[in-house]
Amino acid sequence: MAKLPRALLAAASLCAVIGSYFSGSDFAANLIIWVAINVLMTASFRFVLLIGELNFAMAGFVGIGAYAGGIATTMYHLPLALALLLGAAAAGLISLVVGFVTLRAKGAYFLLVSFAFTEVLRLIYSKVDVIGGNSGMIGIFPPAYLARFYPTIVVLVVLFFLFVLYRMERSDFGKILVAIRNNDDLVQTVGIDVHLTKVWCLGIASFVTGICGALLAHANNVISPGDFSFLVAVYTLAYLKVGGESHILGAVLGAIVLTLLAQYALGFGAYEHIFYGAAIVIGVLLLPDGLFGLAQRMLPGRRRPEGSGS
Amino acid sequence: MDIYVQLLVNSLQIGAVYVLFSLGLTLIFGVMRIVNFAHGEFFALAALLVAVAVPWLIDFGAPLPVAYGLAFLGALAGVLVLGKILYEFAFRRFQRDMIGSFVLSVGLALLLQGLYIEIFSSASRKLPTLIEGTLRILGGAITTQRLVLCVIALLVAVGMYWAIASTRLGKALRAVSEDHEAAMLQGIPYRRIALSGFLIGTLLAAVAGALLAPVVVIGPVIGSSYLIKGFIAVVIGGLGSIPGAIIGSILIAVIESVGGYYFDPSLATIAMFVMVMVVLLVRPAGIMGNG
Amino acid sequence: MEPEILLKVEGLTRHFGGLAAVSDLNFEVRRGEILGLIGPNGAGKSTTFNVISGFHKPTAGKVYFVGEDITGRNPARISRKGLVRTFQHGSLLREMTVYDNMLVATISLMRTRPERDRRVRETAEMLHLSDHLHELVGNLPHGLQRMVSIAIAFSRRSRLLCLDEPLTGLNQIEVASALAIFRRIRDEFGSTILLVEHNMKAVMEICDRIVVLDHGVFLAEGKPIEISQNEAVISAYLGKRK
Repeated sequence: MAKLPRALLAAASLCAVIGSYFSGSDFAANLIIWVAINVLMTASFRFVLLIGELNFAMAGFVGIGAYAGGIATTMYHLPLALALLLGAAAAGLISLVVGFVTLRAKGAYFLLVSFAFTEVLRLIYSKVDVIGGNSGMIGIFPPAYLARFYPTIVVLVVLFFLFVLYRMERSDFGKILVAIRNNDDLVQTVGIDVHLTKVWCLGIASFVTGICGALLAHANNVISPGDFSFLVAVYTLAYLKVGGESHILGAVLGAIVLTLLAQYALGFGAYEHIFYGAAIVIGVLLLPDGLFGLAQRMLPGRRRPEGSGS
Repeated sequence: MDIYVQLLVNSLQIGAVYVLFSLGLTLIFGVMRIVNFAHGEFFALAALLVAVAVPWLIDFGAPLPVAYGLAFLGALAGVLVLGKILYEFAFRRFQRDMIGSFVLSVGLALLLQGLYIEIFSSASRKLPTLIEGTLRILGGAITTQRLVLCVIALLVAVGMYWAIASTRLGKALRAVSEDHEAAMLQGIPYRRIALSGFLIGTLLAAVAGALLAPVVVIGPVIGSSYLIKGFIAVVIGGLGSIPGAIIGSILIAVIESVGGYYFDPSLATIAMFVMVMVVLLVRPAGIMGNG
Repeated sequence: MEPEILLKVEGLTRHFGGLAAVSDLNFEVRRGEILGLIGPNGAGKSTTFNVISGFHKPTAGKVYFVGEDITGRNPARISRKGLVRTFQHGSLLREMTVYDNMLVATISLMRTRPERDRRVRETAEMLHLSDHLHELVGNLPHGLQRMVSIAIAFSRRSRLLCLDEPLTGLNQIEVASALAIFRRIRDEFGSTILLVEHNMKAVMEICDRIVVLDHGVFLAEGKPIEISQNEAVISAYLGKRK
């Protein structure tokens, strides 16, 4: 699918950047920020799916990124870029340690451990008063002179890391990840330490997830433990299922479509559950390749097999 | 001394519901190798149906026990219908696909819970007490109806254990659980057994929910909290193991009541989750499991 | 001249929940030979392979590779020392192309893409896979899939190739082709091959020496002609199908 006209993608990205700058109303600006962050979260969730695991610890790392970024800004008054990087670094480093331990488990077991980890983190946040305990942390703002540009900053950061994830996936390292998902014993036998590779995969994805968390913190200005429950991973899963897992653009598409649809479909809390639940069920039962896969099949022209050798 | 007995008694009554809930969960995993995140919603539906039906039947003039009995049966029937529908249209295609079925069940759980909130409204309901009275056992107090709940749960658990060990269906379920290919080679009708296993598991959740309705305040999101505890119990005890589910359930019931009394409830929950992580990493098969 | 010993298995024992899959096994693999490891079903051949390649730790005994003790090391480390194995079932990456299957095998050996690419193409050429490089392995016919699994192992140009039933399901022509490739691997590249196989005719034809196992225990060892006349071996196989 490298054949998707690069020009088209570049143009779309440029539009996104420009559009974000001229977004005008608060509502539109917030929507753009929300969509962009969801896109990157879905892409980073998908990155771990390359090794065949559902990263239900994701919310935990979003939270780490958010709190780290929030602490950097509110307690140490560091510049925004540094706050974002610290959020990412904290999430990435902690994920290396956690991953080393938890990635010994696979499939359903890894899922449950990750889920447990997220809940433990959330409970811990609610108990630690210095970061606000159950009420959370407030006053996380980007510096005043940047506030006007914040949507554009978010879009730029998201586009950058999307590109990074895409390049990693297409590199030889990315092929190892997919190979691990296919047959990890075979990968061991050709000299690659599968466990360490999985840990790195999680580390990279969590670094990006941490950025999302930090971006989120500065966008909402307030964060609390309840923002980081396992539902985050569930919603991200919905975006991915609907958009399509097989290509990074599926993650982008799913996040954009569902986030925008949700805006129009949502009334009360209940509808949110019904909406996302139905999205997942429909995605799994009816759209095994997602919207992106559907689009791929419907568009005329070349169809190359997955993972072409060059 | 009294406080220990009270804590023990509390654990038993909490554990009773967890046991029924987890037995269903572990059975479904054992037979179909799927992690059914929607299990809590079967449980919740039964509880909600009873909570709604009883006052309605009473308004019609039925005496309380009769109203409860009818509601109980109605709830079980309703849940079984839902279970059959979900099995046919959803889960059957995803047997032995742990990740696919998990994702699907997550979506279903979310969807169902949203529907419950819509249909049953967020109001919490409390049923009138069925059986009055409190008993004192060895210095610990327990309301009579909670005691009845425990006894029934115990009977069901023992019954399940016996049935799995001795009846033909039970043996077939076990064979399929251990090695489904070998079971098929021996002529065991896998499809039918899988359906039976799924429905029995769902029925257990329904019974747990219907029994819980008169004892506790019922809200539409009750499924999630029990689901999480249920999973913890099943994982610790061993996914697919019946004795494991029982042991795991009692263990977390004890942690919950002891932890909740001496420390605070969220600390108890943290402890439980940490325990799950340790078990999953050190002995993923669980205390009694065989992977 | 003393034959150089590449792999030495000493007193190897492996229990599986009360059952002794392999018991006090001793044998060696000499440099440049093609050694066959045979035995009736349940003889312990796969277990031996798993222990040698690091996928299982032995209950007792040692494994030496080029003089170094590799007992219980993890498979990736053992592989990097020059020992590669294939698997009986699915020694492949089904959802990836033939090219990518071999590419993954070269990654821990070479740093740059051009080097890896060259190695993959050379290997594909030798194994007659050049025309199929960009096809998905899962879509290939069985014979070609088997060839790909050998290609993956051979891409590493390892000193020792441990092949687990590589000829299963191949027709006579494909078997002959595979055997010719084994000979080339040995003659042109100096690699040594340890072969587990059920196809007796192929084993007798290609192997320089044969080790026979039965019920986890060493039964006999020698040249093909000696083994085919060995009483104990014949009775172990009596009544068993090929």
